[in-house]
Amino acid sequence: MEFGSEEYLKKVKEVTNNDTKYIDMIKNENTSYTFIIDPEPENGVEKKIVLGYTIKNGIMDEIWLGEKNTDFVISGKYGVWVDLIIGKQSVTSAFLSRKLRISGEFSKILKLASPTEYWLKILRKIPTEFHGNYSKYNIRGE
Amino acid sequence: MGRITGGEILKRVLEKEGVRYVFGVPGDQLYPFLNALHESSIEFITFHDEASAAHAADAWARETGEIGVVTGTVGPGAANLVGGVYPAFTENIPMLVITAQNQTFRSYPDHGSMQALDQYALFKPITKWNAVINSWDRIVELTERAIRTALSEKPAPVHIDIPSDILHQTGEESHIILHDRENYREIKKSSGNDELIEKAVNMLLNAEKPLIHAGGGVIRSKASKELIELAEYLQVPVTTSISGRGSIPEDHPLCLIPQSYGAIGAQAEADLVLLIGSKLGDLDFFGRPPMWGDVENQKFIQIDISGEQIALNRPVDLAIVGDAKEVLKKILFLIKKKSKKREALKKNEEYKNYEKQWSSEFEELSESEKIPIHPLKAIKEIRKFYPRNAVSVVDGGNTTVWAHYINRVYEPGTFLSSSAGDSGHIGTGVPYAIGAKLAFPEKDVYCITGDGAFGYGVLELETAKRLGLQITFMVLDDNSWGMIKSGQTLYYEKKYVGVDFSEIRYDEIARAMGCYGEIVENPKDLRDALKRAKESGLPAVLDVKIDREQIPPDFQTLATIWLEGCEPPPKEELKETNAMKKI
Repeated sequence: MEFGSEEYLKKVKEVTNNDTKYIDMIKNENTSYTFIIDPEPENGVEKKIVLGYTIKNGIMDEIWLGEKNTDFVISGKYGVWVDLIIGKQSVTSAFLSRKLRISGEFSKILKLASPTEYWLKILRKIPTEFHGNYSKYNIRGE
Repeated sequence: MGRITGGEILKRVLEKEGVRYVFGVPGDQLYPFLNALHESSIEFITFHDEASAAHAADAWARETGEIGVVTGTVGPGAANLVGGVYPAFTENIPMLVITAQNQTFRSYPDHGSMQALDQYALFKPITKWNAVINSWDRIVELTERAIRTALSEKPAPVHIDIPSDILHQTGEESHIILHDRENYREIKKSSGNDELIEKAVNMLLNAEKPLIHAGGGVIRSKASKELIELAEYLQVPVTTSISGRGSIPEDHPLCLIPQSYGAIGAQAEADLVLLIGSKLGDLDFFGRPPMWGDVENQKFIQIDISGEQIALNRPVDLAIVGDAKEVLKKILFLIKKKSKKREALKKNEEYKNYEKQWSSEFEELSESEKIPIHPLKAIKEIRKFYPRNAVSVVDGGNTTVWAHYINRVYEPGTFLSSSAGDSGHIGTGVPYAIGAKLAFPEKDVYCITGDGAFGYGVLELETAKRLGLQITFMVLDDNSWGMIKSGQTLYYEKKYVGVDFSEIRYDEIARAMGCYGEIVENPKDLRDALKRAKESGLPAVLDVKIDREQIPPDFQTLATIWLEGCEPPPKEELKETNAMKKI
């Protein structure tokens, strides 16, 4: 499934809401995110991907492609997102090394670092095809 | 009045300054100075290695606020001092380094003398000031100048290099005029510009989310009382640099442990930061976003003893040059005059909760009863065993990271660790503990050290034994350079190079030097072993065999920050490791 496609997002919502451990980890959270995935033409990734989602009481309520107002906006290069998804880099280290830029309440983002690491692990269940040169890191999924 | 040697003059200047100890390794070029110390209030403490002697002098200075004095002889003695002077230089510790030099007629430049070395050039980059004293008549002047320079503005080590013929030379005692401290150096520090202090007060009172960040300068100026009073009066959260740990108790409701989620959150979100006695160095992320706010949205007031330190890593909106304690006293006075004491804020409670969330994983791991012993379990037990005012010395790579998670600091001057400071110099643990115990004989001193780090100073156990110092050394023994091995585990598929030792029994080494030694392999035995160690009355080594597979949970984050700008290993080489599997 193409990374960042409608089909991919649908699957993200499904695997997220089926994972009881993750739901338990964020059970009292009500928040929303926008992820901006910046293109890397030098690596064959031409298009910018913007997606977002809301969490209501620990459940992924809505997920979309495009821009909306959200509590957090997190942006970074395509390759950084690939590193996060394949588990090469942790979310906290990406924040602290400024590979990801954040707008929103920083302490809350850090507080959610552990659940987010877990969530990325869940995403590895989804068969994922990355763009351009990153296709060599495609995930077979479960 | 009779004739006295250069060595005698040097001793007399040090006595006038109130020096209690000279740390060092003797050498024959130093004979006249050593002989002078035979009849002196100053005690010479001999070490097995000059670097260790310098570390002990460094610790003494950190703990007492007085200048640390260390000496070594020409050539190799001077060269070996370097490793001990460097951490003091990076962390602004006042130290007088005295080296003997070959005779004036055969040095500067040297022409092939044994042990010849350009010590002036050697110490230049790691001292604030240095001089070759090539005249008997200038020993008083230049030694006083060295002490004055070491202690003024931004403190730092200074170095005097004295040729042996000058130390041996005699002259009329009546020609020597010594001075009291107040006649040759600053005794009271500047209390800052009143107009700027008033501005700072207004900025603090008008800020919506102020934060105080306290560095080592707060500890050195003994400003903890004022810091805590200000924070409590305005209900401002306080973060500290690593060297500022202890300036406020780490269980205080307004204190946020360095690098915890609470601290980083508060630092990122504050609209005004009162930065006191800190340069915002590497371990403070250089004051950069995202760990701190953007320059446009976050104002900075900086108080520092040295104008040189102002805006070193980040521009400031208001700079006050002055002693932390004196400036804070004035700020407090004006704040109390202008405003009422504030009520506790919910936001501060939230930051404290973020901190708790950060530490909860570590607290959980510290309860482990597994064999081999989890490093956090051992650290938890030693912290619990000793009272709040015990001095904890931490040394090592991974050991320092583990200790940061749960070895809490509650009082100023109770935490020493150059491996958690700007030099990152491992091997300071044993001599630091000796320096600290000499400074505070009435306090308990314990040292948590990795086995690699312990190896640097292990022979100084004999020094501690000779001095009758009860210090407990807990060696977290993983038979390796654990931090580097962790990196090779995570990033290089366990292709280990240069990281493993053979089995060493540190408890047996201790016993061989007349100290107490015990091996600990079961977590259940830790507490009783600590009790036996303390009750022995001897320097004591607990060789704690720890789980070698453990890697600090945020090792990857730390490595990313330290290696910022370095190309990571190619992704093709990446294999899923235990650490990556861990969630």
